[in-house]
Amino acid sequence: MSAVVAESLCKTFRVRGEAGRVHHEFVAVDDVSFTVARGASLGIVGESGSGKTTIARMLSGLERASSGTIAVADRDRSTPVRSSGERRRRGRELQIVFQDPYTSLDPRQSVGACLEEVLRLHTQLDRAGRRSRILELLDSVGLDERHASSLPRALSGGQRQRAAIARALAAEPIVIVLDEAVSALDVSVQAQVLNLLGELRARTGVAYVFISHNLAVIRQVTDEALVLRRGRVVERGPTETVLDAPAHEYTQRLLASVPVPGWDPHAVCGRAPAERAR
Amino acid sequence: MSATAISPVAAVPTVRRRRVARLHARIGTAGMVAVAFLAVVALAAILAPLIAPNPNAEDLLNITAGPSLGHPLGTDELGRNLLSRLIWGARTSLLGPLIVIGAATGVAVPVAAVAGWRGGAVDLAISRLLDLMFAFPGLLLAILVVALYGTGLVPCSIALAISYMPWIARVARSGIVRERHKPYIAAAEVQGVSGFAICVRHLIPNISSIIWSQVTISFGYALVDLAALSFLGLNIQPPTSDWGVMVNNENALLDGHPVEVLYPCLLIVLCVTAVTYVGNRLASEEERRAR
Ligand SMILES: Nc1ncnc2c1ncn2[C@@H]1O[C@H](COP(=O)(O)OP(=O)(O)OP(=O)(O)O)[C@@H](O)[C@H]1O
Ligand SMILES: [Mg+2]
Repeated sequence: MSAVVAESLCKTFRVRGEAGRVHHEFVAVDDVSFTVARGASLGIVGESGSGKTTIARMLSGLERASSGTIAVADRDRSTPVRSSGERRRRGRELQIVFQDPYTSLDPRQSVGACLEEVLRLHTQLDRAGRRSRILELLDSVGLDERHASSLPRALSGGQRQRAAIARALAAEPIVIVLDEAVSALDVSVQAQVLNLLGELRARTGVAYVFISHNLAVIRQVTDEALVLRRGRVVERGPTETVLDAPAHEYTQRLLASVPVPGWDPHAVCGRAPAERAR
Repeated sequence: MSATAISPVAAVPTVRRRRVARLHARIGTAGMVAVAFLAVVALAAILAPLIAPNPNAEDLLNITAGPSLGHPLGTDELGRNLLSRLIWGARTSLLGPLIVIGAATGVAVPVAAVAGWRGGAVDLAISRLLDLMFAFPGLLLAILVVALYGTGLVPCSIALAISYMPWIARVARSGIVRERHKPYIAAAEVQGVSGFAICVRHLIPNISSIIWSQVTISFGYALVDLAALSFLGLNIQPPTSDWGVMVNNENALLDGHPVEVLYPCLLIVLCVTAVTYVGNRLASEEERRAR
């Protein structure tokens, strides 16, 4: 059984022109298909605007696909929810972690209250049961009892992102979508959170759809990768193969744009230094 | 969830003190003075039966008397205790705006939540309807309602509540639209939290300061509008004491005893200034934070 099956996903946005009336259609995601096995980790890479977030939003039901189908745990979720039971069930199947740790937690809700809300929604645990589960969740993301009563503003970016991961884990989903989940963190914190994600996957068997423009990060936490350009998949395969022996010229350019010793930004942009300086 | 050393007993005043400090940081010392003044007036209004003698008792041997121990602010032209009338008058004068703003907010916030949450055609329809309601001047609507249903606090308050509703709804809606697309709301949606619960538990609490600033400013306007309606003889009827009724007393002016008109005027001005000042401070603080 697969965690996620996406088939021929397309998303077309209607863009309003300057005059307010002139519409034109913009294809943000164009015929994207992929499968994520249970417990697997799929990376989606691509430059800014290539449609990564749009895919994440379609998977999580925040955006409706223009065409194509999505199934999580073999249950279709291409159509809007029809009942509150189904809405909760989808919540137990797929969760999401966003990029910005500063806006992804309710500023008025303590971390404990936030987890409590999820547990109330998805489990039959009593008060004491929820309390011990909250402590367990905090512990599993490297936070402790003290953080339960903290408001987000009292936490660092890394701690907030850990809290957001704990929230995503609370309902024990089959898959978690992480949209640039470590991109806003500084490098050392990034490494800690990536280690945490690896550990959690090994322990709980949760699958990841891991979206990033950072290739080093993709290499660390994913088994397979998919390279997106202007909404289309240009290359896919095992992460190592894609990153070490890229077949597509676009992937090669993406790889070349990672700053390493001897890196030449002008070569990446494909322009002569004189032209750039103008 | 107190793993810290603070005992629950000691924690309560700390929380309250922190809340006072946070309010102080937002509205300043002058704002705190305004709040204290309003609290005193409100407390006097609530405790009127305990602290103020019958405001309609006529002491015909002591008409238009100056201040004395029995009548700290003197008496009016019927020998009624002025301070007592002001304190009892505070009850209707403050209760009226409370009803107006309570009713207006009670309708406006859910309407705004539906518009902001659903968006699209629902939002458009509600916004157009609110635009339409802006066209009705509150006082004229009140006069119309009084003409149809008779004078009194209830018809006047309902009419004003209807005309105040769109103002509060518009401000609340724009706050909700701004908040609605933040990731924490999306996270709650993905969790499977119902739209109703998201609005009640997350969206509305997070725009509460915007709503509070609009509510306090509107309260001042409602107080003036209701006093004006009393003055016009459409709201509270004499001999019931009410600041608006007390202002409408040309005899006092003709008899050369203007204090009985001046005191209620002063109270209206002070209350409106205090409440509007607090509201404006809250609003500008909100604007500063939004940027
Ligand atoms: N609601 C929308 N209406 C119109 N266009 C949109 C909308 N959402 C996204 N787009 C467009 O779709 C394209 C893909 O956007 P998306 O956010 O998925 O990119 P991304 O790969 O996540 O980029 P980034 O790395 O910068 O986050 C962009 O060109 C964007 O302008
Ligand atoms: Mg994105």
